[in-house]
Amino acid sequence: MDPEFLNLIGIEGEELNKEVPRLEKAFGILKIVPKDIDRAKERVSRIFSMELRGMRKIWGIAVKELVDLILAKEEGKKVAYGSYPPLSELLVAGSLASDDIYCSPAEAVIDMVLSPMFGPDKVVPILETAERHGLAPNLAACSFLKTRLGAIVNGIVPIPDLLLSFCFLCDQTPKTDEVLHDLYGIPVAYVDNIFEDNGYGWPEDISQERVEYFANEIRCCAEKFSQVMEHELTEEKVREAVALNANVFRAAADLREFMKADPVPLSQSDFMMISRAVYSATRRGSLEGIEALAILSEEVKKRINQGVGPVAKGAPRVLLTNAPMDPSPLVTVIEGLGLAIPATSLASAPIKGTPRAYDSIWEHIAYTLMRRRGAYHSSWGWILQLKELASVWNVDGLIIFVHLPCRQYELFPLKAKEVIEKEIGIPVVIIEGDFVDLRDYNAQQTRTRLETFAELVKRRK
Amino acid sequence: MRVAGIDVGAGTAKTVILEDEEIVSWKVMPVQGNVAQAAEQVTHEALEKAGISLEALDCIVSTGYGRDAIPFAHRAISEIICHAIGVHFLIPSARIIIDIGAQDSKVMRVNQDGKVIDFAMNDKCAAGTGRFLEVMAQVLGVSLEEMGSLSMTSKNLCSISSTCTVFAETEVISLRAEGKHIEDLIAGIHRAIAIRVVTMGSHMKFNHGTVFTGGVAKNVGVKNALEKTSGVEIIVPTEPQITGALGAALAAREACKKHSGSAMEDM
Repeated sequence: MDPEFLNLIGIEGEELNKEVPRLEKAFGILKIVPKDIDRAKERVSRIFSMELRGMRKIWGIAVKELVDLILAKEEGKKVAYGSYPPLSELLVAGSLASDDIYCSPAEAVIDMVLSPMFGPDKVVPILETAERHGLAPNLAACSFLKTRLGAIVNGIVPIPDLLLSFCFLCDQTPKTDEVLHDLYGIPVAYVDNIFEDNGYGWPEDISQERVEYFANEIRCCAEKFSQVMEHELTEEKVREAVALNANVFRAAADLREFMKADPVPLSQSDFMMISRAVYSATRRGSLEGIEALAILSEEVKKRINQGVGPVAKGAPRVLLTNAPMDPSPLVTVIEGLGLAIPATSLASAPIKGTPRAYDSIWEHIAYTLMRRRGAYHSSWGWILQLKELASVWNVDGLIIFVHLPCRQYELFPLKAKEVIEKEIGIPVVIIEGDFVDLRDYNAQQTRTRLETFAELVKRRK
Repeated sequence: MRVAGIDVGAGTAKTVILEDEEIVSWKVMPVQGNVAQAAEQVTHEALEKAGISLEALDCIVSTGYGRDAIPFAHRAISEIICHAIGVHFLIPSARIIIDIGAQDSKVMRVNQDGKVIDFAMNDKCAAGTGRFLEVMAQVLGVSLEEMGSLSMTSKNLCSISSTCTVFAETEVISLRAEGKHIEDLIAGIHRAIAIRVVTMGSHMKFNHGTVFTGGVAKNVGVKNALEKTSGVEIIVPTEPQITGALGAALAAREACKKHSGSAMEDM
């Protein structure tokens, strides 16, 4: 394995002996050859702040998570995959339940590494396989779910023992899980939820009935997990997972506060990678994530003191709702146009109000998840969140990235543009695209929209 | 002060040469493959027409899809901004601009200074663009130039229900097989484009004096359909295809004024 590459992804010291053979085996399964590694080094160094040791550690967490995923069955583990929106507390608890269990948001782990590191080349064959196995091509089906199906069919990741289908909101997850069930007989645990009683109420107005319903669904899912995986998912393990997750979130939130500096000290490419890596990790990655975030915090403080950042001091600031896993088609373009991106809705927690406390761990998880972001809410819930974020981060514009196959979010961007332009008075642009599948990406069209938007934002500032 | 604006779109390349406030030359050519070559050729011909050399230009600004591929341009600006500048120069009262080119369609709202304050643009679908018209012209066996005048003779417009180019093609073939008149089909096609574009820009509220630019603006049938669909009077500049290049040339002139005394490469 190329030592320069290992250094780039922060695998060093005693880790080398243990991790290099595993990495080689996993990369062999992914058919990664030396020229891919060369390309990866160039891409990662160009897109991310790899001069920061903390960032290299973050990349190490992401790559090791992918290796753990690919080799899980070979290393004798039982495997469960969870889907969007990640109910990470259950996945972490599952992984903590036994050394013989590995739980993962598989598609998120695959895409967060392969897309930014290798570009479309390693992802497209996976998507094409999924398209030949029941998920319609083009925009008809979600590329995340295509990744899950295609990677399993291609033998890149193991056939899981259990699928955890979280949230009623995405119609495509249960459909994909149905295909996987039909192909391989994999059992599925479904978690249902309901919209808020008051469409205008997020995040304060989450009814107790709703918390109880969602909590019960999560508890039932945990019971099915215990049965299928033959390891009891105890409340104690779940509490342990909740505490671990809370620590990760706190560390990420502390780092996020630094993004308020001018100039913004990290590229949003970095920050999104950090968020994705630490939130997708389910065991050792969570622990290592806290350590990596601590290293990064110190390095970022230095950057702030030196006035260093990817975009000049005083640059207009924009809020970006989300972005493709590979930052180059969007985040890199936005920052290249001289717009700083201090925050995204993906990485940002709700701002106002004191959270409620629950004795029941299931109710605690249900409430925390529903409060955290708009995925369990009406379009108005999302819009309220964006309004708060726009105000707290004091942004000059909003870029709404739409993952086109995500049908449940087709209405929200249009309404959000209307409301935010009118009520906050900042320009809003909607960029349509895909988190993973760049086959339909039109660089010039995206650039035309963003350049024009950048002009509007700069003129307003 | 001599400047040039070059607009390289998906279908055509356009160059406008300005000398102070006056358009001294302009040229439109089809793009066939190489964007940089098309830009060079169209600029060469525009310069030849004006009787000046490339070196005599103080500044060159490029726009359009090929804007970043023109090595001799000093600066690249998005075509939305350039169309707004160009239209404002020609028709200062314009507040809404519809631009339909070969590959995309856009609706822009501008302020009294010709600055863009809102815009909408089609997605990757070809419906509502010049490409849609090209495909339909081929299906019907007429030239693009004929479509406008033919559609104006329509007495019984056919409704084309599909906005997808591929499905609309099938629909038109089947309607033609049913014996529908060609002029009625073309009028239906124009209406389908108009509905798509007006819907896209409806939140900007069309007003009388909305300006229509781009190659498709030469088609009187589409103009007519836009007027009927939006309910407002539409103005088409004398040369609607060159407003983007004109805007780029005007932006070049502004840049020249700002940077007088420094090298254009420092822009």
